[in-house]
Amino acid sequence: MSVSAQAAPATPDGSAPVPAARGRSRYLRALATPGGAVGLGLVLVIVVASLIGPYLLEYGPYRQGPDSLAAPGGDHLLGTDELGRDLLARVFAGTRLDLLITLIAVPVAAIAGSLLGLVGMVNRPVGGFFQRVFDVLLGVPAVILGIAVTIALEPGTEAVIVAIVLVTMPIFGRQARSSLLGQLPLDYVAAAEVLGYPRHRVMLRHILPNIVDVIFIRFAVEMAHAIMIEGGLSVVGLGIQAPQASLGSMIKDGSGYLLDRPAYALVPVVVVVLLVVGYTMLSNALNQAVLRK
Amino acid sequence: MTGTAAAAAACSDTLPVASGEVVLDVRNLSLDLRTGRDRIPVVQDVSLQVRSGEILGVVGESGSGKSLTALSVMRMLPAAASVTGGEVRYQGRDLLSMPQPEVGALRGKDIGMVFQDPMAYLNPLMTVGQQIREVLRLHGASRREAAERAVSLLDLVGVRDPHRRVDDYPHQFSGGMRQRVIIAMAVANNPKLLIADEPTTALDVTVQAGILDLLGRLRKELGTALLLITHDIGIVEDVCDSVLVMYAGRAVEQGALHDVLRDPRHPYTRELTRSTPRLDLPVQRRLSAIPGQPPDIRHRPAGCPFHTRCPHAFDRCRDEMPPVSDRPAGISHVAACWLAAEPLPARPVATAEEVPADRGAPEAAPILEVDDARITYGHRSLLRRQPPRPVVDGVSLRAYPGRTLGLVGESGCGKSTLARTIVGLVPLLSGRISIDGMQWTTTKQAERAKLRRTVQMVFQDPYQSLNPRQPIRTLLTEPLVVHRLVPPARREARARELMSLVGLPAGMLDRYPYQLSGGQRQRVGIARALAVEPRLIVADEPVSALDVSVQAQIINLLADLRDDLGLALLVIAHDLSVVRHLCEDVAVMQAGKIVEQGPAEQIFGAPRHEYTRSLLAASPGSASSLEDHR
Repeated sequence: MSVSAQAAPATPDGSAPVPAARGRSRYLRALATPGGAVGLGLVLVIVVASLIGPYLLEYGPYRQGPDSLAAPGGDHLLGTDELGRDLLARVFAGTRLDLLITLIAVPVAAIAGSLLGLVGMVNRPVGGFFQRVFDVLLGVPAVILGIAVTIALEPGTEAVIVAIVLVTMPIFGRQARSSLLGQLPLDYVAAAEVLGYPRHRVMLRHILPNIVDVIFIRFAVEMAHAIMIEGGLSVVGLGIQAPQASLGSMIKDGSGYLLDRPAYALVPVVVVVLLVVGYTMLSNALNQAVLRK
Repeated sequence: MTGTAAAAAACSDTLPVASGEVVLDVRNLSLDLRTGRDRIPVVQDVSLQVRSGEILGVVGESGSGKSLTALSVMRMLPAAASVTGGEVRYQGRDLLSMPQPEVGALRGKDIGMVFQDPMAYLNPLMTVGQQIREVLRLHGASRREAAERAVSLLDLVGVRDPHRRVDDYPHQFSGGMRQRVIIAMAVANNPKLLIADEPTTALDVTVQAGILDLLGRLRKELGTALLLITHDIGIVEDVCDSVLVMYAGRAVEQGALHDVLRDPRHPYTRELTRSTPRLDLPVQRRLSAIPGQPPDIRHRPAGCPFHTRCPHAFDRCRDEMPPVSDRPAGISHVAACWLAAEPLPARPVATAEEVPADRGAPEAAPILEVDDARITYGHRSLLRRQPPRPVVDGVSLRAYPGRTLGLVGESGCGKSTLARTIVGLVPLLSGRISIDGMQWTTTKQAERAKLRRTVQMVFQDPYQSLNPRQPIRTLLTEPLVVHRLVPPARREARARELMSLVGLPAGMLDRYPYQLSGGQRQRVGIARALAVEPRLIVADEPVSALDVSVQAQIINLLADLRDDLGLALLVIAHDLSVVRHLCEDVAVMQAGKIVEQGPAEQIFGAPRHEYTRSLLAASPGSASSLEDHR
């Protein structure tokens, strides 16, 4: 609480400043709530495990062994897949690839979407045009969009990234636009205009810092969304292609052996669920701590 | 204790018109507010009594605890607040320990409540009749009785044509009429006690006068005891029988209205009445402002909470809170001040410098010329037959350097739109606005930039006119950067200079707006406007969002800047007393047109237009017969 509370020098007129947690400390406060801590913990555990895990294993994700579809236990903690590859190594690799894809795609979507959402402040017709583009993109289901992208590009990591950007960018664009519209009637925007500040300056220096919290929270939500998009595309075979492992492609491949080797498909499902739950709890905690006045 | 007793003895010859029985008796009430792990005392040791047929005004600034005190009577305190001591008795029954269902039965039946925002307390999907009938039915009226009574209640509160209006929805009523409906609901079951929390703050002055008149009439006709909470001492003066002055959670003075206003025994009460500009006294060059800000509730000073701002404070005030509560019975006028035994000493500094009634004619050429301005929102459209109705319709004005032009009118009359057009935020439909010979329609970049620097604006709400993410230093230097006014090395010095111009310490440059009080923020807003060295400042309701004791400071500051820098000021206000104090020239606006304009002394002394006269008559404090109270 007192992180940002400044020492209160008595002002000449006897008033003391109101100590208030603002800025970074509000984010810290969010992480100190039970929901925020659990959410962050889930995400961190998965991230750290996927980074360290491969070094602890004997087999890499692509090494084919003699036993195919081995039962869990022994050399292979989760067993092996139909080509004799170690499933745990593939879960680690798949998790890493998913995290990498979302960490590239969502920031790109967030920055591009937010800027395109705000551009209407500087140029109204251009801003309106992008909102209509976003409308169209939001109207197309993610899988259909993914099919279109894979037809245009080759199926694979790049196509998944492009698909995630196309699906989530309009959401950021809409978010930025509606937050912008919430700020425009406030007098500080009018004051900036009366003082003769250029429009782009008002947009980037004045309005953007005031809506960045909302965009940041949306970012956590969309990270969860992006994991699910990757999974969805890979499950229908449009996503990550063999021999690369991703959580989605493992779910697809493993679903054929669900009765004999349930761990093959269910472990990636559990990782996806934990990541999505973690991001969602994190965003909820941020939402409560940061946006609550 | 001898002090207060003597104080009371001094005015015991003017006991209040203690007509009826004591309906509400609050004794030594203390309330805490929980924030995080801390518990802050917000109301301490407050006692008050309301008798039937009497109106008690509770007056105080924001954070004084007046609203929480009222809510505790209804057992409607917010979850973070809790009662830590004292008792609240309604007709002898202890409300604080009463079981919840019994309190519920009292609410709306024996105790009515009227809130500030009339729209928020009406259900937009129910007709007003349904809502009034609901209150009646819940407390046992039959369907037919309720229907008949709803109509007679609307009639009682002055809704015309009640038989028809009873089936109308809230949105079909104006703000003042909605407040009348709320009052009708509050008095539906003939309550013995009515609590009104800032009932007229959201309303125009002429509407306010009607509501206050209505409350006074209800008191007479129904014998209701009324607890009226307000920040406006003018309202108290007009309608109340007795008054309780609260400051920083303490009851600092209470007594019969005339006693308290004529012979205030607490310095805060006296300074409060003095710092409020009035319509019935000669205009002073400077208002006698209370220095400083009301204390933040987390950092209330020890001892008497007013001692940091009090001209008479001495050592004992800093250590010990003067008692007020354990007064003997039958004494009507008490003040929580060590000096309360005698009339207050004269103020140490005499600042009375009267402004001559005739403030002269302008000497210089006008800097702002508005000719036949018409302004509208929205565009002509193929789908719309008629062009949009102009919000401002044919207005002409002049503002001169070193002088203040006051623009008064009620909400919706177009005065804010006109202000925004003058500063170039809203385009002009037709007519001409010329500032120092320049116009907003110019296509020359350089001239536009110069125009931007010539006219600046001060906004009403200091909480949203400063970017919350910028420290004060950035707020003040950014205009210098954008307009390349000062070389980088000199910017810091200029920021300090601006701070001292508006009376703020340079140490505040590193603060963020949320760390400042409302009055300090308004000073920053003024300093920011001054940064580009404007010659005309348009101030849209510059003091209406501020606490009463801070308003006078800002009014004085604007007057000083006008005189020292030779600025032309255009002040938009709904409060006529502020305009009378600050302005040499006045224009009265109604429904987009100027109905009367001229020198201030003429407008206020001999108003010609019917509308001006009704505005003046409706202003709080004008109905007063207490010419001699100071």
